[in-house]
Amino acid sequence: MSVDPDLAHPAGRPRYPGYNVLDQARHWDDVTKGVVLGRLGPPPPIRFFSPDEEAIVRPLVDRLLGMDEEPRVPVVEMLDAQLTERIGPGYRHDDMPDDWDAWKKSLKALDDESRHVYAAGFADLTPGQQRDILQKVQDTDGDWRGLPAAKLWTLWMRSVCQHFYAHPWAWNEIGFGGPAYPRGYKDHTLKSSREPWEVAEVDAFDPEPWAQRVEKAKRRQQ
Amino acid sequence: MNRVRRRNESAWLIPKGDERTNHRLRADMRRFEDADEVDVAVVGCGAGGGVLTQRLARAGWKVVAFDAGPFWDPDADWVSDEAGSHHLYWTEPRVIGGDDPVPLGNNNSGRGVGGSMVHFAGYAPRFHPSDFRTYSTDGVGFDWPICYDDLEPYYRQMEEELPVAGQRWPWGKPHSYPHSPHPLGVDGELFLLGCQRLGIDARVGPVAITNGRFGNRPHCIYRGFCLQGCKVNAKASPLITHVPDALAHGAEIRPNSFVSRVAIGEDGRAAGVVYWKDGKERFQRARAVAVAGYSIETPRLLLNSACERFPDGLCNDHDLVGRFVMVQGAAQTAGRFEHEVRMYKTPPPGVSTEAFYETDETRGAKRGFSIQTVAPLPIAWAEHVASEGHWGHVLREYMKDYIHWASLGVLCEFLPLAHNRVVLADETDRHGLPVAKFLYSQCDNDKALMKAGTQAMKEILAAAEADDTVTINRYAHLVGGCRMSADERSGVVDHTLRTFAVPNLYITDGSVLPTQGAANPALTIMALAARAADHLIATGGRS
Amino acid sequence: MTLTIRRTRPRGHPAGNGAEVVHLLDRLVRNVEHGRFERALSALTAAAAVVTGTEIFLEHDSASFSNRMMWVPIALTPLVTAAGIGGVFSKRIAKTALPAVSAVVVANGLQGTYLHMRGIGERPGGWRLPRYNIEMGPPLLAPLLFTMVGGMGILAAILRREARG
Repeated sequence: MSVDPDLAHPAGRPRYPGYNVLDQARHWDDVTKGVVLGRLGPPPPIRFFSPDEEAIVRPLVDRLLGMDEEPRVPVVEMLDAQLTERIGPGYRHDDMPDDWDAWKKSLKALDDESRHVYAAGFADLTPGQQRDILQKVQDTDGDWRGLPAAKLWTLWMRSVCQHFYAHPWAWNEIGFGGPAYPRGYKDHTLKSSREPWEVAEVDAFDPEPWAQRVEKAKRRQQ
Repeated sequence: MNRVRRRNESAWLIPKGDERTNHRLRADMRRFEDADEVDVAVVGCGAGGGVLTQRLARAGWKVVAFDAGPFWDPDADWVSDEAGSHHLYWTEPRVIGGDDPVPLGNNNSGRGVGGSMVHFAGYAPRFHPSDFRTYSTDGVGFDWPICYDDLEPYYRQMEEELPVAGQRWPWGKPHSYPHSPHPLGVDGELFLLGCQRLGIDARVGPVAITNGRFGNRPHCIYRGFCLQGCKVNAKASPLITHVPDALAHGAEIRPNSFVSRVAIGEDGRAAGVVYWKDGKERFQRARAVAVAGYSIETPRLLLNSACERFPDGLCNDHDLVGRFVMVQGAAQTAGRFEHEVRMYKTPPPGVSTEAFYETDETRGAKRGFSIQTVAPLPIAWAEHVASEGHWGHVLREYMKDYIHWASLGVLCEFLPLAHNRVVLADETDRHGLPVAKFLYSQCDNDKALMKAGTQAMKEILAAAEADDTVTINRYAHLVGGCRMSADERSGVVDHTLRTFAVPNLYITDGSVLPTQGAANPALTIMALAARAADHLIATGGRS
Repeated sequence: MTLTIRRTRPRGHPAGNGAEVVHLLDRLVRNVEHGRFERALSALTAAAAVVTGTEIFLEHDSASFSNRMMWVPIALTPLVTAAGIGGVFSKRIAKTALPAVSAVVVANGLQGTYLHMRGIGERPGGWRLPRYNIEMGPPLLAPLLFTMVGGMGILAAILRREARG
């Protein structure tokens, strides 16, 4: 899938140049430090996904999160650990399997769909083709290969965002101040909204009209 | 302050300095044997169970409060981090369905001592007098067997004990708060600005967060992680507002103990509770039982406690257990501002307006809504952006704009409907017990309110000069399921929260609420539990 | 007072506002040089007490008067104000009530400094996060302003009193 040049995503341009939330880690309490810094350590081995499933889930997660290159946030590993331990969200839709089964089922469905459309496995498609298949899932009303499409989409997005935006690299990307205990924040007013250690952004723009245009363009090309 | 301390010494029993937990108090806790007949076994140690336990213990009653989750230590167990706080939520299996299924877990279900209040935002408004008679005045909902004035003294008590901070409150029955209004974050300032320009009255508060030292609890430090468990001990939850005093007066808190059944004796009275601890099924004898497991687990426990006398579930002779469960329509609308907002600073609860609380026929719906600041952290905010349909590069780029957004939440009073209910599912949990299935569908009135509420938020944000707004539809809070009423044909408990069917069985949690208003329910649940405790103490629990 | 001014005005010089100010200043300077400004400083003490007390009230109210000790400076404010005003008109008050109340104010300001210091220490992180907690906690040095009000009152009491006009 190619997008009009003027709609191309401005990714790669950091919005908060030089900002590193980890510089503040010395002001976090020990327990929080342990949990957050643990995400920077070596990711756990894959145990939940089979090798075949791993080959599908990696590009799936990359496409959903727009992760095109290294270094990647180890979302797949974090997701795998969560599913291995069967840590659910606290509910299951009556027309959906449990999260762990839904993930496995959806990866198989994705691969089936890919073979049906492109005569190749999802893992072997180009990123553009993978995006097209995902766009179709997102745009499906009702059932998609035996799963309610909207709920499956929500499950995918909820799961990947939950791990991606838990990572300090993602906080650097969005300018988030991170943990704040025992030291809290002090600059929280209209006149002074930035801590001395927070970084001013560059090239800010309203993403809403731009995002709408891109979403429209993506669907035009289907 | 002495008056409060004489009633509840919890805040003074918490250590000063850097420790948040009185470990000595917990180590010295009285411990009952299963064979001891305690006066009351309380099931669930959240808003309702925590308050009841404290009140009864103070009156000299022998009380054991069971909780399925841990006895939290904010220092060791809680983190200043969104993803790392998943263990605060009830994540045991549950099934949801209906036309508008309501996600549970982090949204509305707590785990451990302190209950959902451990991760609630902190809003602690009162209900309005009109909430107690919606059927008479608006022809919808249900009339409570008590009126506002019955609950008012308990509202005041709870506001002092939490304590609640806010400006003088002009809505419902006007009242003031013991603590002054908190300083605001940018999102709160913008909310006030938008309301001011539209001529809508909005006020700072009411939040159950210390603004100033309270006992040994420190002043809030404005860090914005209220929904992740307050490591400061500034935000109220029964863990720090009622449990310490309960322990000091001889109550036992029995954590990691999952109550699976209320046992009914041959005389038709509750004889105690069956519970699981450390993999063993055990039985605690009790003279009375109070169930406080909230709107999903309380009905589930009653339904799972079916016996010869109650074949369709305990107290369910009239098919009312598990019915009329309510959630509030809680759409969140965020506005984008040219300047920085950084809504992750300061507590998410800041400003609210109840100007839309009462019925306004021009909205095409009965009852109303309130609007409050909400301030999601990055993961929750990503859910907003994703719900707009964005993913991939668009999502990433959109997220980079996080610091420009201010978010408001509406609380719409959805109506109590019989078909919105908790039933037992076919699947079972690890104890082999059927799990709860929660069916939920909105009615037209609900939809009209949600639309009006969303519109009002958009207008307020636009008046504050937001360039763009996005809205996510969601739900908040849970109440109902074992409602209180004047008679057993229309409810499960009477106005003292005693079940009609079993004379020594009480339900002291949010499930007894017949309607929910457009207010966050925590304060009302606590006030009802305190009131029930007074009745119990006054009558000696005699039926 | 008017009489004094008239007497010191040079003969034949037209009465003008500018001239009066100069003479008041002269007189003040002379009084100060001779240590005679008890009444002026009493008045100033009263005024400073009102200003400081009001500010303390607002600050303590924003922190919900969460410690009962926070009411003490509020209670002392009308006392020291009254003593200051009394000191303007009565030498006896200037020499008795004013220094007595002022001494209490001095002590309360010192006590307040200690309490604020303790409050900072009891915030999460305490003195290990000195800059953040001093900036965000109870204002460390503010109670000393109250002490200074008391100091002024004591100073007024030990000064020589202006010649009565």
